[in-house]
Amino acid sequence: MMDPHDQHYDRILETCLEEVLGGQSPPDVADRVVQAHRAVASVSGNGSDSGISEPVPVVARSVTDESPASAAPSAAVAPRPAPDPLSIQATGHSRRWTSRRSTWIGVAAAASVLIVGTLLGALALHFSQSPSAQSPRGGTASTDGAGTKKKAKGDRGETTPPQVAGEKGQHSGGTGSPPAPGTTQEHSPDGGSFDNPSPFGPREVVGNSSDPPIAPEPVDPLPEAELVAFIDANVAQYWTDYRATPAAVAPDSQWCRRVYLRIVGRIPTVEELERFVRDNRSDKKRRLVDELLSGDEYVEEFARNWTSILTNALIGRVGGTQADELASREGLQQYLRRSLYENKPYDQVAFELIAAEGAGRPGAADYNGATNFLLSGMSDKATLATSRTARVFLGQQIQCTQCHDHPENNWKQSRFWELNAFFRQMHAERDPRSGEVRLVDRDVVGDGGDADEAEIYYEQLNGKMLVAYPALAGTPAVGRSGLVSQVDRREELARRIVAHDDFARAAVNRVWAHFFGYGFTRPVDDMGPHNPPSHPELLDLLADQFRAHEFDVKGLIRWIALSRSFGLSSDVPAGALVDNPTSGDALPLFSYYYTRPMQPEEVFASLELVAATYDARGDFAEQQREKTQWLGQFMRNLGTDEGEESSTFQGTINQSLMMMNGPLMRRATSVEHANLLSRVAASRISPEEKVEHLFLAALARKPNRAELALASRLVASAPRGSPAAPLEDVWWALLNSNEFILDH
Amino acid sequence: MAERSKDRSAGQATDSAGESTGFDASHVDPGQLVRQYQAGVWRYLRTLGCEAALAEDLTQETFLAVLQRPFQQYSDAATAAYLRKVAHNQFVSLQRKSGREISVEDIDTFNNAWAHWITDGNGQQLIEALRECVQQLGDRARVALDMRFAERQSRAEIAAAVGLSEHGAKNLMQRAKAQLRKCIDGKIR
Repeated sequence: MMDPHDQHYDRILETCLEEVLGGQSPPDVADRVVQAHRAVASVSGNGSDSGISEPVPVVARSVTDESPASAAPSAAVAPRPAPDPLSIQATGHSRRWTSRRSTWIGVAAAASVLIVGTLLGALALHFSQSPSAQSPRGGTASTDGAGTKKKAKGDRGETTPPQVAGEKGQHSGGTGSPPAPGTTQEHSPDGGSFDNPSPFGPREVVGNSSDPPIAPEPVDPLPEAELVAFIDANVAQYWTDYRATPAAVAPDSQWCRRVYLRIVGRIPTVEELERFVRDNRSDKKRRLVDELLSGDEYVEEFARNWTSILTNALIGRVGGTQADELASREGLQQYLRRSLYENKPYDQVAFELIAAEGAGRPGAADYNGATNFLLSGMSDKATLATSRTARVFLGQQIQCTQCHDHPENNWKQSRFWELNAFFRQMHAERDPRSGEVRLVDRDVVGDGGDADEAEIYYEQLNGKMLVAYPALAGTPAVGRSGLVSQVDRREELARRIVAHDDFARAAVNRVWAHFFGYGFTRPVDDMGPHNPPSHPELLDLLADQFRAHEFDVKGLIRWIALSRSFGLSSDVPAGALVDNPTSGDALPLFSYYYTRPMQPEEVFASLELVAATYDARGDFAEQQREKTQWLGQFMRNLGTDEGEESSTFQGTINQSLMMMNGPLMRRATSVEHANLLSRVAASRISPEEKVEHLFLAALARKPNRAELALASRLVASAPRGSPAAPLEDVWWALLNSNEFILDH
Repeated sequence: MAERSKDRSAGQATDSAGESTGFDASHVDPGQLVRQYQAGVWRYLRTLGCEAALAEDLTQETFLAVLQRPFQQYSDAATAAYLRKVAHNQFVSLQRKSGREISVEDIDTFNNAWAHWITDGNGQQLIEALRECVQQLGDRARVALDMRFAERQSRAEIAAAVGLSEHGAKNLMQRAKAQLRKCIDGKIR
């Protein structure tokens, strides 16, 4: 069978043959592009050639194959034929370029309006803050005394060129000597600490000398209203750029259903829905979001939902569920739930997960549920823990660099192993008597047998062995000692990660994707120079503000949930082809709410709600176990080095059978149980009202005329012996409809 | 802080007054950017299936699109990859707008193949390598490829010219292309 790569190589070869044999050659478009670019800039008032506000000139290819008709400039798009010094005199015009004239005029005009208006209004305020302002976390924002400027976001300097194994070179930090006992190399000459929000400024940094350190500069927190306005303006700018028409505003009931699903992980009850719809206050959306995030009634549900979300992100849906695993899912969930109850900042949670020591299972003497993140990634060389840590907390997929340089950017193989070196002190030890597993750090001597150096070796594809020491690209150097008393490597890593620029960006991207179905990058955890984000300014600003607001996840949720995009209808507007992220790898424009299947946890919680089983069960841990068991029907660990999982919760037969006949569905759709249906059936309301209630409960909308007529006729024709049977059928049909299982 | 806003978006975003400056030529010269990468973008679009003229149009649009929004230069490879991504999006958008069916192919695999062969960002090395490799072909194979790619002749015409059946001509060209691939791999790698 033909290798799929073969056809690609053939295509490239054939195209090049047309060039080599057919005499084709790449055109020189530089002058045309530069002139058109200047013209666009001048129309928007920002170009270097200021004062010229003529329409954007049409730029034509020097060689044209267009017909004379198409070559004629269109009066409609060039209303003022005044001499334009920026125009190019060409013999003909490309039809497509001609048609784009109005686009560029529109882009330029819209850019002017938006720039002068809201967009840069927010930016101006944002960037005009004093760099020496007091940090929101209590530290004083230091400026870079050396005048070092931060490099562009995402510009990750490569680490020092790797050394060949056996050639112990100079310390990457340049000191060449191990730190004094009881200290780490983080204690730099300037005496700074990681409490300082700009801890990496003047210190020595891992990487090429030309690479500035990666550390976010502190910004002052913006008010919520300005942040939401920035989100709206930035997203709208892209609609203008791409000529996307935004959808209408979603009906209140639709928005209410989706905001419940996103924040507390279940559909709303009819009472909750009607309460919101009937609320006439202008700020009712903000009130509902606040209620779901912090109201007493929803504290537990919020914690439950976000515990699930975080657990899945950290160890997948299967991790820690098997008795023979080192990790305990229950332990991790308990830790996360408590953290959410306490509203711990996200950076603190991340730090604790990376640096945790102790036993993973609840009830152990030195129980620390946070250890389960790394216990789940334990392997011979901690490779899974390495790739998972980079993926979850930095949004970087570096697993391929375990074996070779990254094929699509300049990340070297050393990047993986230098990160991996942080985990080499980590060990899982099992108590022979109690059987409890503990995550501990031990002194290591490294592959070279020298505790003062404690390097590790890794092999290139060509068989060459290289040396790696703990290092995170763009962050301060780390001591090489393998003695925990001198360098606690995981703690050093945790400090570096939470202070890293990509840390906040990865978190923002993930939360955004939770709300919209798509993040700013695809996939959401594969950020980097090879995969630029769809809305870079927005991602940067949200990340900066997430950090400025002390990594308050609820704050981030609030900004996103109150944005205009989140409130758009899921009805795809006409002409929305340009915003179709389901096709290929096109980036989303968020011009309508992307309909998508609920997550399995959301289906479970919603079914629980209507089956009224939630309150009947035991404590939280028991509820989680039941959910895990239910989810276990659909998830399977593929057992790969990267901890991949497969799901059958994708419209498969398994899922269909569960939805049609599963125990939870049977309980929800039978009046024999005390559930929503039995309450509706027993009520004194009319058959039409009963049908209406069930539609609201399942779909957050009333039935249309045809649906109501059909269902009412069915309900009215109930057999004498089982008057509720038709109502059960209607309810079953609603819960098995696509509309129920979709978040729309 | 104004410095920062420039730095973070490498070449544009905001000045000290918070006003957009568009592309900041002090960081990257647009003309230089286009001249350095235009051949690579054009060749990439050609391999995606664009005719030469369309590839030229989309090359221009690709650069204009890139220059209209924040742009960061990380490295030559990253910039080339970013431009290819934008070019691909331009191509897909055009297909959509013209109502053509879009074949959702494995663009990642294709990009891997591209990155394997095009190591200089613009494909010139590949072209040079191919020129040399073509010279190493046998006469009959070279004639066949010349008729196919330069003169756009049919397989029947090629078969008649080289004295083979159509099937034989097809095999001849396939073998020649396989030989070229091997030769290129040797030169580039």
